[in-house]
Amino acid sequence: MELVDESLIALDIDISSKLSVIEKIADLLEKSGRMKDRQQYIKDVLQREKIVSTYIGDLMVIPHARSCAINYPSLVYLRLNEPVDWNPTEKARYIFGIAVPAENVENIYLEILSSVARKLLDDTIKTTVFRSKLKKEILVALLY
Amino acid sequence: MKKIVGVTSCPAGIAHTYLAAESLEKAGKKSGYLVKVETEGAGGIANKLTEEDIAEAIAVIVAADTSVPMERFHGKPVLSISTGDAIRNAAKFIQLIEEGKIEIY
Repeated sequence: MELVDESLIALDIDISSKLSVIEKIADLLEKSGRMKDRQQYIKDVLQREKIVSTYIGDLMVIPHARSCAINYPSLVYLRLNEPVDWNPTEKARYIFGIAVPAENVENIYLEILSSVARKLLDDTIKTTVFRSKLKKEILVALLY
Repeated sequence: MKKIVGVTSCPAGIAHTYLAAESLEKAGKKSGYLVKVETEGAGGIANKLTEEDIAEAIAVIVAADTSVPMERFHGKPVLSISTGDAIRNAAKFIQLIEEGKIEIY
């Protein structure tokens, strides 16, 4: 199973709170069979956010968790029409949800994830991910 | 070329560790430094700093939200920050190094 596919990308959607954002990520993971315990996943992500906010600048956040609720390493991308309040001082519009199983993860997946994370700091890739209307184009920008 | 070394690490070890490394490498390069960053992530330690790397470096940046082994940096100027700081304000910290405003560990 690929890290990310078009079913894990939702563009230009309306969501009005941080919790709803995380629930939407859970929806997409659940629909594609990548998640076995929705409540656990949501709890793990919120817990991770509590340690340090995953805001990384430019309205981008990367809520993530290594969680026993996850079956396959996965990346979800949500692009919102309007930013939501992520915490008292930061807003989020471009959301990269990263979900990794707690155990038995092959290093290759971790390497892909780390390379995706690094790409989010590249201006050309950011432009594509922020603006493109084509899921395929966004997939390519994130993965290659 | 002057060299800066760094170490990055975060609780889950799947995202911030690598973002912080990328951000430090980019900012350093922009200011004309050679930057080598060791990442301590879920996949283990990558790009490990050697004794030689550390000896050559004019300064060390530790961008970590977890504890990382520090003894090896004894006697070097060391800047300890969070991964979030490194991701958002890397240029500012490179500037602090340029200005020599870093305490010796």
